[in-house]
Amino acid sequence: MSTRKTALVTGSTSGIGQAIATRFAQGGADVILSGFGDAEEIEKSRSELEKATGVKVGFSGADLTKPDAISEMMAYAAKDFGGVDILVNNAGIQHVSPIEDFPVNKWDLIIALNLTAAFHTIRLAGAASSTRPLPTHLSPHLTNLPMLPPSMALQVSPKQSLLKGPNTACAVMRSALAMSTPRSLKAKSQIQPSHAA
Amino acid sequence: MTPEQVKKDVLLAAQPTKEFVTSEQVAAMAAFLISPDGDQINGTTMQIDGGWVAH
Repeated sequence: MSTRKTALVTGSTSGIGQAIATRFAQGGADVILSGFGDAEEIEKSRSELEKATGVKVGFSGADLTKPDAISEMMAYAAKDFGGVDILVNNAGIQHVSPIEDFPVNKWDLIIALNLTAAFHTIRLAGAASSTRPLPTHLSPHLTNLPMLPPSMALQVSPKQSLLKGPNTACAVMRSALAMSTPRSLKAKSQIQPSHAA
Repeated sequence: MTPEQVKKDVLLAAQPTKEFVTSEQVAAMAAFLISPDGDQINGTTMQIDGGWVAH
């Protein structure tokens, strides 16, 4: 098993998640990509990143709105990478609509992906680390970084304000994690970008 | 409106820098947070928004 740290970045087949995974790989961490997209394109970028950086790059196509799929993803991380040291909950979606027209299924999807998926990845990453040796250099870091919708919780357009719900819940979860300091989980912080290009 | 006007006056109306944040800038912050230099940054939110929430 590699002595490098392993970073799992959800929603990393494109955009901010992909940039984070790339940066971590360039910094010498093994990386597990996660997300949806064209299978050939994902495999191409996975193998190219591996070749360019010399680290191990894996992939999980888990549907993060499904707890069982998240369990399988974490089991894959444990089996092929020895666990997750750095967890980046980046995957997220948004929908803009007045509340009276807001599609119920969209709301459920947003809660499942932007909020509940982070609960499951954090829960399972923590559970896994309690059962394996924790040399200092493998201490789990945990950056709870939901890629929340642009403009975030503080100032949003009236139609986006519904997303304050899951956003704020993520922030509360982050603070709770910070205070609980389980074992060596650390750096439990969020990044709130505005519109990212 | 020109595409440039939409960018500056609509999408980035509330962002004083009038520039989009790049994915690479967000990734650089993530790299800092997980590095030893970021060890004592804990339970907070790092804004990368060109001053969006500053006013």
